[in-house]
Amino acid sequence: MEPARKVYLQPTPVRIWHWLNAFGIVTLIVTGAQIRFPEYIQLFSGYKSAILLHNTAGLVVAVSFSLWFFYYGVVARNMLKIYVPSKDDLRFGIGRQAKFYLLTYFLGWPNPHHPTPENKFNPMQKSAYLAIMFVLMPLIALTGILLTNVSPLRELVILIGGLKILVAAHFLLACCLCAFLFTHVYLATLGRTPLAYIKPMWTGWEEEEPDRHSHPAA
Amino acid sequence: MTTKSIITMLGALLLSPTSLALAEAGARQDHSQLLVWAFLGMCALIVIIQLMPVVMIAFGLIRGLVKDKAPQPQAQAATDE
Ligand code: HEM
Repeated sequence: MEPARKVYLQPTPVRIWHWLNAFGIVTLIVTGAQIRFPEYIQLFSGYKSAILLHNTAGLVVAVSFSLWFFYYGVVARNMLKIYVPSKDDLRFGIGRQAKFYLLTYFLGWPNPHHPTPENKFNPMQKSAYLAIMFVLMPLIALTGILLTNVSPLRELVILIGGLKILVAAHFLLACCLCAFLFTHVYLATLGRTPLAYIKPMWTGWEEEEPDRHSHPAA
Repeated sequence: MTTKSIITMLGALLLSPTSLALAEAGARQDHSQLLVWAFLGMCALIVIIQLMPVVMIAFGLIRGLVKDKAPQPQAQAATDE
């Protein structure tokens, strides 16, 4: 039997960004829940601790986001190619991939997408990651920065509609991110084994599967 | 002790806000710094573990270079014969 071929899909900076980001965002969600609902959620010793940890995690996520941006935009210079879906992706790819996730995966059919370093995401992943990394993350970071600097950025806060609107927007965006996270983690476990797609995100190397060639995390 | 009184006691323990008040009192002594340092420590661990293969490859390369430059007496002896 031929040994399984391995592809180097996730370079070191992407892996460092991803796991700092994942750890940071889980921390942000948990501490954010306590800050928002202090009467019901008391996971950390006190309100003050939750706020301090939330602000620190926000800073780590922002720094790691910059690493992601710098790597794809300046070093690899393939950000748009990797993250923006093509016309074909939008016209046929998304439907084909949705059919796989909703139906044919459960019938044991192979994944229609075969990842390569230059085309590692299927059309649904591209669309989801594009929305998360280019819209949701910048917006949530922006509202977070405004909330931690209300007095120096007072005019901007008023321009947006005031503190209440800002708090509501930050919370709603966080809910969207939370929804993405659950879907993302669920789809990340749909490999041959539950860790088959998570391991490559840690080591960088993905083993090509004999029947299912792709990783459906989105 | 009757079952009823045990249940009442447990209920009082779990539902009364005393435990929360105690937790709050603990918080006043401030564990916030510790939590932040634990979080940053985990982040540092992620970075170090991810950089380990890169450091090992770099180390191997340097060792290879140093070895290449060093004189090889055995090979010399073999060509002399
Ligand atoms: C906490 C648990 C998480 C797990 C287990 C996880 C798992 C994975 C896996 C297995 C991949 C590789 C498959 C793929 O390329 O799609 C991946 C990629 C990705 N994940 Fe996550 N993830 C987590 C959290 C997050 C969070 C919180 C975000 C963003 C807010 C995120 C955003 C991304 C993005 C954008 C990619 C593509 C990275 C690239 O190759 O450029 N992930 N994730």
